[in-house]
Amino acid sequence: MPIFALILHLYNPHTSAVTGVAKRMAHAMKSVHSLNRDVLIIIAEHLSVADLVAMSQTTRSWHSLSRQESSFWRYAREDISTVVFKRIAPLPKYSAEEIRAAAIEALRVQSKWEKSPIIKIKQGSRIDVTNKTIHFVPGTRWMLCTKFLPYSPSLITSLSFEFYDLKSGQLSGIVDIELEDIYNTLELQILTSLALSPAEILLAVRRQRQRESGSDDTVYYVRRIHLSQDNHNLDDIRFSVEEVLTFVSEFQYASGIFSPDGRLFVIESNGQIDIYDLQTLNRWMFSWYLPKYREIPYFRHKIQLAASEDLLVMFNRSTHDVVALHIPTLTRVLQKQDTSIRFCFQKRHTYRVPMRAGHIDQYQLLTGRPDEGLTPSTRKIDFLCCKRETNEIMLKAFQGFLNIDSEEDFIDTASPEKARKVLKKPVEHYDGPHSPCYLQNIYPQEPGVIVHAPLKSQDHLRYCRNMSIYGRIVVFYEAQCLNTADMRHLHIVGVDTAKRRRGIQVIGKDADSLVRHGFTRIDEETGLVFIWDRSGNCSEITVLWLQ
Amino acid sequence: MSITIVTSDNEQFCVEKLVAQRIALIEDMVENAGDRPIPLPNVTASVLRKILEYCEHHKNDPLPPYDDGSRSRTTHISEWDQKFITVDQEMLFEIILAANYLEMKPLLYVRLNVPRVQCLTACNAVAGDIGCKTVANMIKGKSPEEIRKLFNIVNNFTPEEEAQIRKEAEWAEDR
Repeated sequence: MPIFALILHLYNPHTSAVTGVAKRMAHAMKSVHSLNRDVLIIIAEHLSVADLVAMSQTTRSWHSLSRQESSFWRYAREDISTVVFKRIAPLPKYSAEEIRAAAIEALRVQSKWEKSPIIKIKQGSRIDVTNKTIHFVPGTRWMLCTKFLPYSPSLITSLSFEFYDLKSGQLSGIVDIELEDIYNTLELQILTSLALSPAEILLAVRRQRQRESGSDDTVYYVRRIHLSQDNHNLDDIRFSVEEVLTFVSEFQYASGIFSPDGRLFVIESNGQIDIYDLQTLNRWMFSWYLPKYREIPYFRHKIQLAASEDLLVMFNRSTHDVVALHIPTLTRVLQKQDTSIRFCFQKRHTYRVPMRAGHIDQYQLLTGRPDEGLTPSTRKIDFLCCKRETNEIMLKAFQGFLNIDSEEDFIDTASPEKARKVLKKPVEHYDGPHSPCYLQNIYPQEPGVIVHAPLKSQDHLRYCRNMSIYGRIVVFYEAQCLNTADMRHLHIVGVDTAKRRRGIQVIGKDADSLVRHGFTRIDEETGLVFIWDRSGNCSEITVLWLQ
Repeated sequence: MSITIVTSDNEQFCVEKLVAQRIALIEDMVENAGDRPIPLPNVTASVLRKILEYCEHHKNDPLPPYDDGSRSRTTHISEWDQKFITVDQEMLFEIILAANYLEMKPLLYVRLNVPRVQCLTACNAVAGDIGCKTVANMIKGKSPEEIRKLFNIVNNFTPEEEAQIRKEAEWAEDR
């Protein structure tokens, strides 16, 4: 009997034995326990790290699944800070048990940030960085140092990056990048970096150079740094460098950013944006402008870039206009064109942050992620900005919803007058699951103001400085008198969701040392604060872990 | 052209072929079955009725491509699908299990043959993944105790395991 006929026979409702079993199966009360491993894994794919940990703590079978099946953490593992993994490895090489432990540790760090009113410094180290330029790889424990001194033209043949482990304060390794030696180097800096996993860091370096003839250009080096670790000695970390891309630009200045999936966006001084797909090594160029800003020199200084999983967002510091490009749609169109194209954003394509220019001391543009409950074509954009007044720090936040056109709305033309539209105006009434309107003032009594942070010092010299915004955290110092340690405070104020504020104060001796230094960087993901003291002849980094 | 499907409780359904083709298992069986009815011994009439309602509504949608491991974590569910999946828990799990058995990717889940970022847009076009997304949405933001209560799960950890989990869960006091 052919196999299929046999199957048909076995499942024939008129063959009583099988039918009886089938009926019993079909009529058994279905509950969550009926879901098999494959279905549970699919459900897990839609959950965040915190939800997966909660799910794993519900029942023994789910607990076992979370400890035995790496696929349970298939997507969530990308969201776990690289710092909390006990060893360095590519993500697929971690066992489910290791990922689960890292997830729990990451949640613990996050919880500390959010709940501790006064935090104690857990760990600190000091690193001498005299005559070095430094770069912190976001979301990691790595600080890169180079010995190149800016503005001192020199012929150099290679560039060394020292990898400092901020947790231990030790130099863990050195990576060399070979350079062409026929040029003077006028300026050298790390443009941007991205940790793809604990074992892989993308690095983009920008070098402004000069030929003997005197003509200048800029060369970009994109390199992939691989990290590996000795299984027997976890302190023995090896670094190797792989060339990904090298390209030259005739323009002298640029800023850049990696999108979380590893695309590099470089915005040059003429406003042109280059997109590099580091997997395919394809390069596309496009220019965009708002008609009245076509001729602005030093364009890059006016533009701040932000990249989320599928959006590239640009903020014009002069006009407070926000425009967004939907990366998948953009690259699809660019792939079809195979040439450079121009976008003309009209006023109706932009979202204007409702702030007067003079009021913004600091600002931060944050883009929502597609999995935050919004539709794939509608994305939330948060704009946080700070204002300092005599007795208080005021943080304002605006949330805008951008409605992205579908691909069908792209009109294929190279003419600026009929340029492609990527972004529609913000939706007037958003009916999504979380927010009712496109511009949401979180404090209805005082539109836009979400945090008031009154200063602690009430008399004499008030001293407040170095206000900074990192992600959703605002940091500022406050001191009554420069010589009175006890009256100094470091405030770290975070904004999560509507009406929810969290704050951390570091007081006493720790605050004293912080205030004397220049605050440099805070990384919420890792719980890292580092302070760069450049006050004397020596330059020193003080590292604090708020864990 | 129509085909006949027989459920586990012996109910017969006469289904338009275009609609039935949304069910991968039936599509495979229909060529060899000829005019004979196709038995579905693991699916009851009430569940099949729901599944056919879904197939009828989505019969003209493009079929989802094969899985390439791309990420599709959006939990957005279209309005019609949302209404469709608003059922009691028992029926929800019946639908998920039946979709799994019938190899119905869109009803169970969908992964698209496009790069990760493109997938996020394409997901919008396919009413996929609604069963598992619905369960995921039910779990989101809840504590283990709330999840147990929601799904009527008995806490079967030993006291030692329970203590260990309590230690792990210190971060989640306000969850």
